[in-house]
Amino acid sequence: MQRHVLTFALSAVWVAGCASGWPDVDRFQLPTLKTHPNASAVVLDEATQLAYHPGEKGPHATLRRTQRVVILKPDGASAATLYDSYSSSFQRVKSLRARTIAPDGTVEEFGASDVSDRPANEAGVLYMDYRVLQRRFSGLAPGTVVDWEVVLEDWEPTWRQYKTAFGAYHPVARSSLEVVVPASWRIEHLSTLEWAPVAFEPEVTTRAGQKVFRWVKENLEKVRSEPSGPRFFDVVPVVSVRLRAWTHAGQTHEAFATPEEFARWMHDVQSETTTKNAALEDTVKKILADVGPDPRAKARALYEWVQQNIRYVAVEVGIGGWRPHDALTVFEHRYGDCKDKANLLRTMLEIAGIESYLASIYSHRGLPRPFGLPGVGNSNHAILAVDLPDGLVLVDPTSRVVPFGALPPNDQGADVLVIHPEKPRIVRSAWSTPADNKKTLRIELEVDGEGPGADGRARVEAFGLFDWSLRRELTQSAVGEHSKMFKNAIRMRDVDANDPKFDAKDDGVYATAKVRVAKIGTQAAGRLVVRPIEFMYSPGRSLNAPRRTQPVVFGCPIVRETEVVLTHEGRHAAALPEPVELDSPYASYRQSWHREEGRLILRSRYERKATRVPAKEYDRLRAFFDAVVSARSQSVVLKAEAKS
Amino acid sequence: MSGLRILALSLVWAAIGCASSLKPVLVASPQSLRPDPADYPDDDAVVLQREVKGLLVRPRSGPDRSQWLYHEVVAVLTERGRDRVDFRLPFNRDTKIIGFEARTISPTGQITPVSQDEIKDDEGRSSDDTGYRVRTFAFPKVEVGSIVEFSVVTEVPGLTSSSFNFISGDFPTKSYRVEVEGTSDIYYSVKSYNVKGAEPWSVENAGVGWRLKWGIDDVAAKSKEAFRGPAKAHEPYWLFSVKAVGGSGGQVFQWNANWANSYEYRAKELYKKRDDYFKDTDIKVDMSSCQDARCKVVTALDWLKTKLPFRGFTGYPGRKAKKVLNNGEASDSEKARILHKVLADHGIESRFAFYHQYLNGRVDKEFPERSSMRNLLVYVPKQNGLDAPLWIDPVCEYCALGQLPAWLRDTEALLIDYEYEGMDTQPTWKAEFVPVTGQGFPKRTWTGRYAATVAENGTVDVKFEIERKGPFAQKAYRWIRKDSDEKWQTTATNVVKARIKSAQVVAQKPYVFDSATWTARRALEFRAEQFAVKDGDTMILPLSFLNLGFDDDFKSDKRTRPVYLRWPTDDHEIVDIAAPPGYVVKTTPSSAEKSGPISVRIEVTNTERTVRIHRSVRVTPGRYEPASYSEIRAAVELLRGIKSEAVTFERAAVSSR
Repeated sequence: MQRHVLTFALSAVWVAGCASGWPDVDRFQLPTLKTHPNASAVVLDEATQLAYHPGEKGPHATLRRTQRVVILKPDGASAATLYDSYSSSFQRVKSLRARTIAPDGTVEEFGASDVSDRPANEAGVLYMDYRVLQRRFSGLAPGTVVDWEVVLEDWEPTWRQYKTAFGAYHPVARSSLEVVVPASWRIEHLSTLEWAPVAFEPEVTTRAGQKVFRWVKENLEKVRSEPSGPRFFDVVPVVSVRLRAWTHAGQTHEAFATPEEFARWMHDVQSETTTKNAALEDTVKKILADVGPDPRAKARALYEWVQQNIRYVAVEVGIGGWRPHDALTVFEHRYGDCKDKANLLRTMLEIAGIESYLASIYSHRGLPRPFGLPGVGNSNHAILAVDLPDGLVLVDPTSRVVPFGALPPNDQGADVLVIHPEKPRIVRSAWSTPADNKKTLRIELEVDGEGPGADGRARVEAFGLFDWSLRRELTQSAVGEHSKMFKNAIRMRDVDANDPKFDAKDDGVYATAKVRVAKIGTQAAGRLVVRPIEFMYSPGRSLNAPRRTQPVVFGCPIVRETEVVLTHEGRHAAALPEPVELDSPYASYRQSWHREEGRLILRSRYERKATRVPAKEYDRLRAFFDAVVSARSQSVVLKAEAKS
Repeated sequence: MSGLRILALSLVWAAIGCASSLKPVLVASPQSLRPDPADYPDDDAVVLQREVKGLLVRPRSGPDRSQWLYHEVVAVLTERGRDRVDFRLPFNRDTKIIGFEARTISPTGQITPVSQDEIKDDEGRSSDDTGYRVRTFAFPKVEVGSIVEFSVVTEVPGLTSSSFNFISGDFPTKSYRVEVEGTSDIYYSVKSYNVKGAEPWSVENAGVGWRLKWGIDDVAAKSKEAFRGPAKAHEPYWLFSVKAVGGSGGQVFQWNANWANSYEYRAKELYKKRDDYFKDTDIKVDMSSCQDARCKVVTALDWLKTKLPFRGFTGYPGRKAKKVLNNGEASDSEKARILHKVLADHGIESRFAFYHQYLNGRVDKEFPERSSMRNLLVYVPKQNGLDAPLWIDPVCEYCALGQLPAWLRDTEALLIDYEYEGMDTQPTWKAEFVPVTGQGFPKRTWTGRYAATVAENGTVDVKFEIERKGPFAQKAYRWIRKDSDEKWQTTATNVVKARIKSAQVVAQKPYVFDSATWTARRALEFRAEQFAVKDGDTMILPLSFLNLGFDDDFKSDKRTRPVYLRWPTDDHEIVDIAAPPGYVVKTTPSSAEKSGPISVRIEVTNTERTVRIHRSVRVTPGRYEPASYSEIRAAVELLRGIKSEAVTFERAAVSSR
């Protein structure tokens, strides 16, 4: 680390940049808290430069990322963090540097040894060849400018694409991508917002015999982290770029022209991984011993075996990010990642005489990403397309609980690239319907003599994703946790569940338990005011912010039906609130109170119809949820019955 | 430790030749350890055996080294346990793995070793250029009912000067064994804590050295109960330290022989290498109007409060002074170090002292070691202009001079001092435990004042003011410095929705901080449509909107560990309710109170048209045995009980009939 102090007595411009290769800083042009009162830092410039050039064995790429940030508040230093990642199998760090310029002009410079370079530790991945470069800058005074630059060299750029996001969790004054390519080479690019194509074209120029493509955005608002919001990449403009045609050793080469061509390449990469031996064949035989000749039944049995017996462990190195470990290794170890599990199932199906194909998909969090430019970079997950007499069936054996024929929520509504050797294609998986994902709760409570607590029994019936999540918990948890699971399943406040019983049937999970609700209302002057909001959670609770910049991501449509039956010895309900019916394009809610055979009954039905709600509809959505809260805040007064 | 490296070997240990190595061990008959899952209904796995072995090696030639063996045998009881048995061992760049074995034993006893191909070794570098390595692998063929076992031997250069080990983990442990071996020229201390009923450590001769052995069976998983206090207070652990090592010619080098030894490194950092910490800084505090020491201390503290407000506890050593000054906020030890410098620059003598916060750690005064105290205080001895010594924790920005914060209750701090003896050019370091005295302790108080009016249709309008004092105000002061307008709006909504889900914020202002009284206040207004319920001529106002600390605590009817109440809390909720037009007060909840570790008081007063409810909770800090739990719970039940009650009003005309 070097340190020197700059003097700028005659000039307000910090001129350090000239000698050191950093661009100049004009301190009079820097944003301040006056110009950005709500920002703790401003990204002055974030730039990516991707330069393709000929290499000895084929095209290389140099990827240069730079960022300049000015800190406005003490907690703004996080905006300046140097953060980048690279694959040690295909890339190396060519250079790495950073500097800080304090308000008094003191410059500190940082080199590679000041930046951490460590194996990536991604959730769910045991080991991978991705590495993370990181340098946090703490203790920076407001007014400090931080520059950093990372240069990577990539020696396998032809089958991969680069995605550049425009935006940050802080305001960005200027964000740019520049792609430089020899004049005779071609690139392909795609601009998207929320993964839908948008018109955001580059400026194209020529420089020293090379074509230069430049995308620029200025004055971007900061990206907010909002509850039930999409991920960062899902809400900012993204430009994807890939090399489309190049020359090497006098020959012209072209990248995949279509997703289908890419699928054929993937098929080659994944070939010779369906290894078999007698033990595996014997296992298939045993699994299918009592299964009839129906191919679907056979496929289901093998799918369930892989689901339950192969532990999810991801180890991905180099091409191993796309090529599964051979089936026998996975079978021997009894562990593997998504493509390992899918490939083992493919191999077992093959032994059983059933064709199937690996398929690439982007496992999303409610916001599917359509397939973009042909090539690697469109998917993060592998599933299997099973060729059955009645058509292709998509299955995801990584899931431990989703039944054969269904897909987990993260795979729904998504583009799936079926890696078929002859007929590769993209198909779109279906979203489930509200009726598929239904939970019903019936709770019968006897109100305490004194109130406000009540005891009784509850029964939950869970289908679709509710079934899967409960079933997953059930298979995962210790017996001692079942009461807690039941409490979570019924979504009620201050409830104790005892003696829970779960029955996981083919069509759903059915559960019952004894329950005690600590408080169903308020007591006063011989009355008990029953108010559902006191003991039932309401949907949309996290959407409290006054404004919204991003869509609200719901994911799968669902239905929740609740019936609360209150027995209240010696009391009677004076009047019942009117039924409530709320409807919006995104969700609906019905609620009604009834008196039946001396019991008080509340029935409600909440249906979430949309998978996402645009930000511009946020006020309307909030109004809907506020109306649900108001409905649940309605009360029924239970009064002691007059003695005759 | 490196400064104490022994350069020559004495005959005593030259003869040892004990440089035998630790070897990975595996259980001979793992099937015999298989547990009955019914004994562990709440657990995903059980550690059947955990073994730690240390060998402090002093070879005839070559540098000293230490070897440590970790051996663990775990039974997988649930699917979730099955997902948690992957192995990732990060270790220092200087550490080598010199022995390694791992295997899976299936429920039927079939053994599958982890093969070399499955092990991934990698390395990384942190931004201070410290390197580390990491070994990663997954156990093969794991199913529910499997046993997984690993044994790893590491070697580090030099002698391990101290070792601190918690015994309990995420899963219960059936058998825990530890063994440490060294040569007779290594003088050690060893002790275990929170291990009622366990056998004492045994010492046996091992060649020309010693071997320590100890073990304990049936250790529960780490407690997850709320208010359980620091792990050191109740979880079993053991400490080992090297007190001294012999050198050539019978010389003995003291490492952790006493507290001054243990803290020598830090003492040098604080006093002798102070310039490193303050490099490139120029702190100037104007004390021109001060004539005496007291004034200078007060001025220094005022400057610190204003220029470097508290950012949170980070412990020793904190960031370099330049970063702190740039950042404009300081942590506990940063404040203490800067205060000491400012005082020194103005001729005020002061010393540092290490401590741990009240009920938030544990120090065994008989066992010198460095890990138990990470917080820093400043001690100003009696001197010209100061009649009595002063203990100062500059974190306590709301404390008057001489006043102590709550976390210094019953504290003995380790005062680090030095003196030059005779013609010595190097100081002699001194460390002694000294009771921290002063006036104390300012409470942290939170007061919520509600002025509620009820309309005839049941709509309730509330003017709500929150007042925070002491540490609570300090927290609000930080929010004021950081939060945006939008954040204030969002927190206002959260505050209101936490009281009445259907309420809407009508107006809100951010906290206003009064530095003279260290008070932060925030005003909100909210409205809840038809929150009060009409039933004929009666209007019922539920008190479910009350919301005070502890309302959601101590709901469980069981308690296994003592309850630790660290803060002298004094929280109040004062609700003034005006009857709806045309109504008079009919019924109110009763006043009640309960004293104990948590004292609760509910005071209800009313006139014909108004009701005042004053709910308060006071905490007497302390450690309370599980036997006291029912008393604590009863108080909290009383506190929250009123939330299930209501105030009722009756039409005035009806009342008069």
